[in-house]
Amino acid sequence: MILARVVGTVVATRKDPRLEGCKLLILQPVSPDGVPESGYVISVDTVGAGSSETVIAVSGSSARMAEGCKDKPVDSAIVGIVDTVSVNSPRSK
Amino acid sequence: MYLGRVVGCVWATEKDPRLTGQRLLIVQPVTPEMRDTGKRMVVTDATGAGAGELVYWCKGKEASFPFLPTEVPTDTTVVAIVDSLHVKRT
Amino acid sequence: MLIGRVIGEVVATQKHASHVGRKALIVQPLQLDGSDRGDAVVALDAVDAGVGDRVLLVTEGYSAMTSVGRPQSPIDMAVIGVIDIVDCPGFGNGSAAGTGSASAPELPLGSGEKLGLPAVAVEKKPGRKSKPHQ
Repeated sequence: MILARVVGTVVATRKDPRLEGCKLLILQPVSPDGVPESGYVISVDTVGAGSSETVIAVSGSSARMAEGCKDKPVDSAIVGIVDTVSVNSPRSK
Repeated sequence: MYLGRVVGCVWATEKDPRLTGQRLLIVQPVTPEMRDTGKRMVVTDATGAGAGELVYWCKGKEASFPFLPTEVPTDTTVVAIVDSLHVKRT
Repeated sequence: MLIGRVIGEVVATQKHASHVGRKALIVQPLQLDGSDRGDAVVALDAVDAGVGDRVLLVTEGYSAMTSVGRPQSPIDMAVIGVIDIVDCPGFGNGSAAGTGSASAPELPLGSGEKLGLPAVAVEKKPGRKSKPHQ
Protein backbone atom coordinates (compact mmCIF):
# COMPACT_ATOMS: atom_id res chain seq x y z
CA MET A 1 0.00 0.00 0.00
CA ILE A 2 1.17 3.57 -0.48
CA LEU A 3 0.78 6.87 1.29
CA ALA A 4 -0.56 9.48 -1.11
CA ARG A 5 -2.13 12.90 -1.22
CA VAL A 6 -5.36 13.68 -3.06
CA VAL A 7 -4.46 16.24 -5.73
CA GLY A 8 -7.43 16.18 -8.07
CA THR A 9 -10.43 14.41 -9.51
CA VAL A 10 -11.33 12.78 -12.82
CA VAL A 11 -14.75 12.99 -14.47
CA ALA A 12 -15.64 10.40 -17.10
CA THR A 13 -19.21 10.09 -18.38
CA ARG A 14 -18.57 7.23 -20.76
CA LYS A 15 -17.18 4.41 -18.67
CA ASP A 16 -17.72 0.84 -17.58
CA PRO A 17 -21.24 0.70 -16.03
CA ARG A 18 -19.84 -0.83 -12.85
CA LEU A 19 -18.00 2.44 -12.18
CA GLU A 20 -21.23 4.49 -12.04
CA GLY A 21 -21.34 6.48 -8.83
CA CYS A 22 -17.65 5.96 -8.06
CA LYS A 23 -15.51 8.93 -7.12
CA LEU A 24 -12.24 8.82 -9.10
CA LEU A 25 -9.47 10.74 -7.35
CA ILE A 26 -5.96 11.59 -8.52
CA LEU A 27 -3.38 10.62 -5.91
CA GLN A 28 0.25 11.67 -5.75
CA PRO A 29 2.43 9.28 -3.71
CA VAL A 30 4.21 10.83 -0.73
CA SER A 31 7.03 9.49 1.41
CA PRO A 32 6.39 8.87 5.13
CA ASP A 33 8.04 12.27 5.74
CA GLY A 34 5.38 14.00 3.65
CA VAL A 35 7.59 14.70 0.62
CA PRO A 36 5.76 14.25 -2.71
CA GLU A 37 7.18 11.53 -4.94
CA SER A 38 7.00 11.29 -8.68
CA GLY A 39 4.13 9.66 -10.54
CA TYR A 40 0.43 9.49 -9.78
CA VAL A 41 -2.42 7.00 -9.71
CA ILE A 42 -6.15 7.29 -10.25
CA SER A 43 -8.00 5.57 -7.39
CA VAL A 44 -11.56 4.80 -6.47
CA ASP A 45 -12.53 6.44 -3.18
CA THR A 46 -14.17 4.11 -0.66
CA VAL A 47 -13.78 6.23 2.51
CA GLY A 48 -14.91 9.75 1.59
CA ALA A 49 -11.49 11.37 1.17
CA GLY A 50 -11.31 15.07 0.32
CA SER A 51 -8.89 17.26 -1.60
CA SER A 52 -5.38 17.63 -0.08
CA GLU A 53 -5.94 14.81 2.42
CA THR A 54 -3.26 12.18 2.89
CA VAL A 55 -4.62 8.69 2.35
CA ILE A 56 -3.63 5.05 2.17
CA ALA A 57 -4.19 3.43 -1.23
CA VAL A 58 -4.04 -0.25 -2.16
CA SER A 59 -3.28 -1.38 -5.69
CA GLY A 60 -3.43 -4.48 -7.86
CA SER A 61 -6.06 -7.16 -7.54
CA SER A 62 -6.26 -6.43 -3.79
CA ALA A 63 -8.03 -3.19 -4.66
CA ARG A 64 -11.08 -5.25 -5.43
CA MET A 65 -11.19 -6.28 -1.77
CA ALA A 66 -11.94 -2.68 -0.74
CA GLU A 67 -15.45 -1.82 0.43
CA GLY A 68 -17.88 -2.01 -2.46
CA CYS A 69 -15.20 -2.84 -5.04
CA LYS A 70 -15.68 -6.59 -5.32
CA ASP A 71 -16.92 -6.66 -8.89
CA LYS A 72 -15.63 -3.30 -10.04
CA PRO A 73 -12.90 -3.01 -12.70
CA VAL A 74 -10.44 -1.19 -10.47
CA ASP A 75 -6.76 -1.62 -9.79
CA SER A 76 -6.36 1.04 -7.10
CA ALA A 77 -8.60 2.00 -4.15
CA ILE A 78 -8.34 4.39 -1.20
CA VAL A 79 -8.80 2.42 2.00
CA GLY A 80 -7.94 4.91 4.73
CA ILE A 81 -7.47 8.58 5.59
CA VAL A 82 -4.25 9.27 7.50
CA ASP A 83 -4.34 11.13 10.83
CA THR A 84 -0.65 11.00 11.72
CA VAL A 85 2.47 9.24 10.49
CA SER A 86 5.00 8.28 13.11
CA VAL A 87 8.57 7.78 11.87
CA ASN A 88 11.36 6.43 14.09
CA SER A 89 14.58 8.40 13.69
CA PRO A 90 17.75 6.33 13.24
CA ARG A 91 19.15 4.79 16.44
CA SER A 92 22.03 6.87 17.82
CA LYS A 93 25.34 4.97 18.29
CA MET B 1 -0.54 -5.86 -23.35
CA TYR B 2 2.79 -4.79 -24.79
CA LEU B 3 4.22 -4.75 -28.31
CA GLY B 4 7.24 -6.86 -29.09
CA ARG B 5 9.26 -8.49 -31.83
CA VAL B 6 10.12 -12.19 -31.80
CA VAL B 7 13.91 -12.43 -31.95
CA GLY B 8 14.60 -16.06 -31.07
CA CYS B 9 13.54 -19.13 -29.19
CA VAL B 10 14.65 -21.25 -26.26
CA TRP B 11 15.01 -25.00 -26.00
CA ALA B 12 15.00 -26.59 -22.55
CA THR B 13 14.89 -30.31 -21.83
CA GLU B 14 14.89 -30.04 -18.05
CA LYS B 15 11.89 -27.96 -17.07
CA ASP B 16 8.62 -27.94 -15.21
CA PRO B 17 6.54 -30.79 -16.72
CA ARG B 18 3.66 -28.40 -17.44
CA LEU B 19 5.93 -26.52 -19.86
CA THR B 20 6.37 -29.64 -22.00
CA GLY B 21 5.17 -28.93 -25.51
CA GLN B 22 5.15 -25.16 -24.96
CA ARG B 23 7.05 -23.01 -27.46
CA LEU B 24 9.36 -20.63 -25.61
CA LEU B 25 10.13 -17.49 -27.61
CA ILE B 26 12.51 -14.62 -26.97
CA VAL B 27 10.71 -11.32 -27.45
CA GLN B 28 12.21 -7.82 -27.57
CA PRO B 29 9.67 -5.25 -26.32
CA VAL B 30 9.28 -2.35 -28.75
CA THR B 31 7.49 0.98 -28.86
CA PRO B 32 4.85 1.66 -31.56
CA GLU B 33 7.65 3.46 -33.43
CA MET B 34 9.56 0.14 -33.47
CA ARG B 35 12.30 1.27 -31.11
CA ASP B 36 13.65 -1.35 -28.72
CA THR B 37 12.60 -0.67 -25.15
CA GLY B 38 13.51 -2.75 -22.15
CA LYS B 39 15.12 -6.16 -21.87
CA ARG B 40 14.42 -9.19 -24.00
CA MET B 41 12.40 -11.85 -22.23
CA VAL B 42 11.34 -15.46 -22.60
CA VAL B 43 7.63 -15.86 -23.24
CA THR B 44 5.27 -18.73 -23.95
CA ASP B 45 3.30 -18.62 -27.17
CA ALA B 46 -0.43 -19.00 -27.80
CA THR B 47 -0.41 -18.00 -31.47
CA GLY B 48 2.30 -19.83 -33.45
CA ALA B 49 4.37 -16.68 -34.00
CA GLY B 50 7.64 -16.97 -35.94
CA ALA B 51 10.99 -15.20 -35.79
CA GLY B 52 10.90 -11.55 -36.84
CA GLU B 53 7.14 -11.14 -36.40
CA LEU B 54 5.61 -8.22 -34.55
CA VAL B 55 3.38 -9.46 -31.73
CA TYR B 56 1.70 -8.31 -28.57
CA TRP B 57 1.97 -10.16 -25.30
CA CYS B 58 0.38 -10.04 -21.86
CA LYS B 59 1.84 -10.29 -18.38
CA GLY B 60 0.79 -11.74 -15.06
CA LYS B 61 -1.49 -14.59 -14.10
CA GLU B 62 -3.57 -13.92 -17.19
CA ALA B 63 -0.66 -15.20 -19.28
CA SER B 64 -1.43 -18.76 -18.17
CA PHE B 65 -5.11 -18.63 -19.21
CA PRO B 66 -4.72 -19.60 -22.90
CA PHE B 67 -3.45 -23.01 -21.81
CA LEU B 68 -6.19 -23.90 -19.32
CA PRO B 69 -7.05 -26.43 -17.95
CA THR B 70 -3.31 -27.11 -17.77
CA GLU B 71 -1.86 -24.64 -15.28
CA VAL B 72 1.25 -23.60 -17.16
CA PRO B 73 3.72 -21.71 -14.94
CA THR B 74 4.19 -18.67 -17.15
CA ASP B 75 3.89 -14.95 -16.52
CA THR B 76 4.26 -13.72 -20.12
CA THR B 77 2.51 -15.08 -23.22
CA VAL B 78 2.25 -13.90 -26.83
CA VAL B 79 -1.48 -13.51 -27.53
CA ALA B 80 -1.60 -11.98 -31.01
CA ILE B 81 0.44 -11.53 -34.18
CA VAL B 82 0.19 -7.94 -35.41
CA ASP B 83 -0.66 -7.40 -39.09
CA SER B 84 -0.43 -3.60 -38.98
CA LEU B 85 -0.36 -0.62 -36.64
CA HIS B 86 -1.91 2.77 -37.19
CA VAL B 87 -0.27 5.33 -34.94
CA LYS B 88 -0.98 9.04 -34.79
CA ARG B 89 0.75 11.00 -32.07
CA THR B 90 -0.48 14.61 -31.86
CA MET C 1 -5.83 3.29 -13.04
CA LEU C 2 -3.89 5.68 -15.24
CA ILE C 3 -4.75 8.48 -17.61
CA GLY C 4 -3.74 7.76 -21.19
CA ARG C 5 -4.25 9.01 -24.70
CA VAL C 6 -5.33 6.74 -27.53
CA ILE C 7 -2.68 7.14 -30.24
CA GLY C 8 -3.55 4.29 -32.55
CA GLU C 9 -5.00 0.89 -33.25
CA VAL C 10 -3.60 -2.58 -33.81
CA VAL C 11 -4.87 -4.89 -36.54
CA ALA C 12 -4.22 -8.57 -35.82
CA THR C 13 -6.03 -11.43 -37.55
CA GLN C 14 -4.19 -14.20 -35.78
CA LYS C 15 -4.88 -13.79 -32.08
CA HIS C 16 -6.30 -15.49 -29.04
CA ALA C 17 -10.05 -16.09 -29.37
CA SER C 18 -10.83 -13.85 -26.40
CA HIS C 19 -9.45 -10.81 -28.27
CA VAL C 20 -11.77 -11.29 -31.26
CA GLY C 21 -14.52 -8.71 -31.56
CA ARG C 22 -12.78 -6.05 -29.47
CA LYS C 23 -10.68 -3.15 -30.72
CA ALA C 24 -7.04 -3.29 -29.62
CA LEU C 25 -5.97 0.30 -29.02
CA ILE C 26 -2.48 1.69 -28.61
CA VAL C 27 -2.61 3.89 -25.51
CA GLN C 28 0.14 6.22 -24.32
CA PRO C 29 -0.01 6.60 -20.52
CA LEU C 30 0.36 10.25 -19.50
CA GLN C 31 1.83 12.16 -16.59
CA LEU C 32 -0.39 14.77 -14.95
CA ASP C 33 1.29 17.53 -16.96
CA GLY C 34 0.40 15.80 -20.22
CA SER C 35 3.86 14.43 -21.00
CA ASP C 36 4.44 10.76 -21.76
CA ARG C 37 4.72 8.31 -18.88
CA GLY C 38 6.75 5.34 -20.05
CA ASP C 39 6.05 3.47 -23.27
CA ALA C 40 2.76 3.06 -25.11
CA VAL C 41 0.80 -0.12 -24.41
CA VAL C 42 -1.89 -2.17 -26.13
CA ALA C 43 -5.27 -2.24 -24.36
CA LEU C 44 -8.60 -3.71 -25.36
CA ASP C 45 -11.41 -1.20 -25.68
CA ALA C 46 -14.50 -1.49 -23.46
CA VAL C 47 -16.05 1.94 -24.12
CA ASP C 48 -15.67 2.62 -27.86
CA ALA C 49 -12.88 5.17 -27.48
CA GLY C 50 -11.35 6.79 -30.55
CA VAL C 51 -7.88 7.94 -31.54
CA GLY C 52 -7.05 11.18 -29.74
CA ASP C 53 -9.35 10.55 -26.74
CA ARG C 54 -8.03 10.83 -23.19
CA VAL C 55 -8.99 7.60 -21.47
CA LEU C 56 -8.95 5.75 -18.17
CA LEU C 57 -6.64 2.74 -18.43
CA VAL C 58 -6.88 -0.18 -15.98
CA THR C 59 -3.81 -2.40 -15.65
CA GLU C 60 -5.09 -5.25 -13.51
CA GLY C 61 -6.08 -8.50 -15.13
CA TYR C 62 -9.46 -9.35 -13.61
CA SER C 63 -10.70 -5.78 -14.04
CA ALA C 64 -9.54 -5.69 -17.64
CA MET C 65 -10.97 -9.02 -18.69
CA THR C 66 -14.36 -8.51 -17.05
CA SER C 67 -14.75 -5.00 -18.46
CA VAL C 68 -14.54 -6.44 -21.98
CA GLY C 69 -16.76 -9.36 -21.01
CA ARG C 70 -14.14 -12.10 -21.38
CA PRO C 71 -13.43 -13.74 -18.00
CA GLN C 72 -10.51 -16.16 -17.74
CA SER C 73 -8.73 -14.59 -20.71
CA PRO C 74 -5.18 -13.40 -21.33
CA ILE C 75 -6.07 -9.70 -21.12
CA ASP C 76 -4.13 -7.51 -18.70
CA MET C 77 -5.09 -3.98 -19.79
CA ALA C 78 -8.29 -2.31 -20.89
CA VAL C 79 -9.70 1.13 -21.58
CA ILE C 80 -12.61 1.46 -19.14
CA GLY C 81 -13.60 5.12 -19.51
CA VAL C 82 -13.32 8.20 -21.70
CA ILE C 83 -12.22 11.18 -19.61
CA ASP C 84 -14.24 14.39 -19.78
CA ILE C 85 -12.46 16.52 -17.17
CA VAL C 86 -9.28 16.19 -15.15
CA ASP C 87 -9.40 18.64 -12.28
CA CYS C 88 -5.85 18.99 -11.00
CA PRO C 89 -3.38 21.90 -10.85
CA GLY C 90 -0.88 21.75 -13.70
CA PHE C 91 -2.92 19.58 -16.10
CA GLY C 92 -4.79 20.71 -19.23
CA ASN C 93 -8.32 21.04 -17.80
CA GLY C 94 -11.66 20.94 -19.45
CA SER C 95 -11.18 19.80 -23.00
CA ALA C 96 -11.81 16.14 -23.61
CA ALA C 97 -10.28 16.48 -27.04
CA GLY C 98 -7.32 18.58 -25.89
CA THR C 99 -3.79 17.57 -26.61
CA GLY C 100 -2.81 17.95 -22.96
CA SER C 101 -0.09 20.47 -23.80
CA ALA C 102 -2.28 23.54 -24.22
CA SER C 103 -1.05 25.38 -21.14
CA ALA C 104 2.28 25.33 -19.34
CA PRO C 105 1.82 23.79 -15.90
CA GLU C 106 2.48 26.05 -12.93
CA LEU C 107 3.47 23.20 -10.65
CA PRO C 108 4.65 20.21 -12.66
CA LEU C 109 4.04 17.17 -10.53
CA GLY C 110 6.72 14.56 -10.43
CA SER C 111 9.53 17.11 -10.36
CA GLY C 112 10.13 16.48 -6.66
CA GLU C 113 9.03 19.97 -5.66
CA LYS C 114 6.89 20.33 -2.55
CA LEU C 115 3.39 21.41 -3.39
CA GLY C 116 3.03 23.72 -0.38
CA LEU C 117 0.05 21.73 0.88
CA PRO C 118 -0.52 21.38 4.65
CA ALA C 119 1.95 18.83 5.99
CA VAL C 120 0.80 15.60 7.58
CA ALA C 121 1.78 15.64 11.27
CA VAL C 122 4.92 13.54 11.56
CA GLU C 123 6.12 12.42 14.98
CA LYS C 124 9.79 11.58 15.15
CA LYS C 125 10.55 9.16 17.97
CA PRO C 126 14.09 9.07 19.37
CA GLY C 127 15.96 5.79 18.82
CA ARG C 128 15.69 3.36 21.73
CA LYS C 129 18.73 1.77 23.35
CA SER C 130 18.66 -1.99 23.04
CA LYS C 131 18.04 -3.85 26.30
CA PRO C 132 20.55 -6.57 27.17
CA HIS C 133 19.18 -10.12 26.90
CA GLN C 134 18.72 -11.85 30.25
